[in-house]
Amino acid sequence: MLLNGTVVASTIDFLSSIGFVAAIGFIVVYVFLRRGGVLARIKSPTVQVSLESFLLVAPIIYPMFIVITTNNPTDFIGVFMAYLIFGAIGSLYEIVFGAGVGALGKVTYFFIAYMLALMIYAGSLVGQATGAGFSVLLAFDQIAGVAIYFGYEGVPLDLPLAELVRLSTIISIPAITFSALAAQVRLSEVKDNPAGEARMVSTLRPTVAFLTFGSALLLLPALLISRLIVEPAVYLVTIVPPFLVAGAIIVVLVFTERKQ
Amino acid sequence: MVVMQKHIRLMIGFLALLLFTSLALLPEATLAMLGVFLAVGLNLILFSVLRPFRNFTITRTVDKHQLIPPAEIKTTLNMRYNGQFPTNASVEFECKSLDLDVNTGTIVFKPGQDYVLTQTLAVLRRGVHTISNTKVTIKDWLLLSGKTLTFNDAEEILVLPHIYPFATPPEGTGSGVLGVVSSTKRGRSSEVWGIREYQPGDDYKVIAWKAMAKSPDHKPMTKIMAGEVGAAITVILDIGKDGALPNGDDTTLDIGADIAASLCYNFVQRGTRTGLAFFDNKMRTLIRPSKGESHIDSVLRHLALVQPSLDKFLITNLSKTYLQLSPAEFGNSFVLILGRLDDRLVDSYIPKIKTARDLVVVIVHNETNLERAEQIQEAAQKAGVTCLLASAETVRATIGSLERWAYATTQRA
Repeated sequence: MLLNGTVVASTIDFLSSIGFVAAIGFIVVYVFLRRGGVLARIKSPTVQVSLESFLLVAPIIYPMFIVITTNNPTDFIGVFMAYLIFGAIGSLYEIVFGAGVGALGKVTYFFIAYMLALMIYAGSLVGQATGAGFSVLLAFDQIAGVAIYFGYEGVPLDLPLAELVRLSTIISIPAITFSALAAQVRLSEVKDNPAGEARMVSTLRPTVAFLTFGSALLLLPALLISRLIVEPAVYLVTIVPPFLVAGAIIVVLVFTERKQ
Repeated sequence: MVVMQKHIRLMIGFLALLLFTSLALLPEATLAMLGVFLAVGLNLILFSVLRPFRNFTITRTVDKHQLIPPAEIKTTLNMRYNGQFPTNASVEFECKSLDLDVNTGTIVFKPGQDYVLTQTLAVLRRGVHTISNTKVTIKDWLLLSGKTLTFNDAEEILVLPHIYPFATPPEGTGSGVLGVVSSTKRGRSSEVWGIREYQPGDDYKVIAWKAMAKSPDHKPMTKIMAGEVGAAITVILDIGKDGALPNGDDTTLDIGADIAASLCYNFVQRGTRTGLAFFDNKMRTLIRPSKGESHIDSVLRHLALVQPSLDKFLITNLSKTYLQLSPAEFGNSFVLILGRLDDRLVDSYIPKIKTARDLVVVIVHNETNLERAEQIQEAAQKAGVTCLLASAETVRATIGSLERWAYATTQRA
């Protein structure tokens, strides 16, 4: 999604803005200092926190000043987009390479990456259509969700290729599950025995695959319930079926653990 | 403070994320969250239903339960898992005093497969060493929750003191040191059990001509024959606080226990009735002189278990107490193994004890109190008391000197 034509075109639009360049520059400097351990070597916690905060917040100061004085949001949106792109790339990196990230971490990063990518795509699409480069409001609308029920007038877009994206995401759910479970095995093993070599992941691969298959089968009831309620209450499709299935699993789990 | 279990924390985390994605109205992300949540839940349910922890058989064996250092013991752990699916478990046991810490880490057990874990460790210090119960922690497939089984198989290993053999080997039961011989043979026989320097009064018929010729200065030597009668011997070991002083890799009491064990063992092997007493400021343990395998076993067990007491050794109290030990039962020869050297009264009390009984004193010292040990030795020798010094480095030589002393004090019939 980050590499599609609309997003690339929007990004190129902002490449020349001072805000975008400054934000990228500050973020790169921050990542460089953090990875190099320079920030960790600062003895005074106050100085360390102040410097980190400055590096992260500084990019927004200049565009805020421009917005207030000239009403020109270009630099502000440039910085916002820089943050979104870095956030999405960072989350994708953690999903694929994140050492020390367990199942919860993997799916959390997936969730964040998915939301940011959705915002970038929707914001870029509308921005390109209107000639503004990027629409912050419409980007936010894509994740506004339940806020709409409480009066927020969001306009979730029916994005082009949305069906394709949806299909590929659904297909990738078992892969996400498998990778999250494998990450959990690895993390648990490393925590249990920090000095030892982590080798359980390869040994337990068939078991993890079995659990992935089992979870995919257990998604079927959620699908059936969704189809039942899609007509009368479409807005509850993402809430009721998953919580009914999750609740059933919790009840069975509590029952079996008590019996044990 | 209540600590939430790892798997419950994780499930709550997933529920929170599921709530976020649901409320954000992102169906694909919601399904992904739900998929992982269900997989984790399925894993925990199967663990509770299949109960892999009920299918473990663990047998631990230790090849020796009583030994004399330096020696090695081998522990073998036979593990078998009879479940239907592979499971993860770690097996552990330990013996802190022997620096033994066995922990397999989490490994995958396959159904019906045998696992053997062998561990060999060197045993250098006397004492009772307890190997803990074997603990098996069985975990679910994602290593989130677990159940620990404790097998009631704790074992004790008795490590006896080190025994240094006498240079002259015993030639059979009833061989005599200090003149005490087999209870079945009384009177002099033709069997030679030991050789010593000639002493006034020794019969010329027992002169060992060959030994005399072989000795560098051709001093007259005499044979000690089976059947010569003598008294019992009692070894008194100072178990006071100073026994805890470091002495090489051991403590002063360890060295003292080694010397006492060596003396008792060698004397009993040669048929001498030998007793043992533990003393600090009073008599703590008294094993009456006897002989035979059960007696030496009892003596060695006591020496394996003895630890420095909280009280200081008081020679003034010993000088009164030992008089209550009748010569008929406890003999007239005492070996005092002394670890406390900072008591100035030792110098003057050793000669007092000597006046009532035949006495040899063994002073166990380390590098720091060598000078004081030499002072006591000098004072004792001036008073005509045989006094030997022993440390971790010289203990073998001290045993040799004690062997010579034992032959020298043999009483002729």
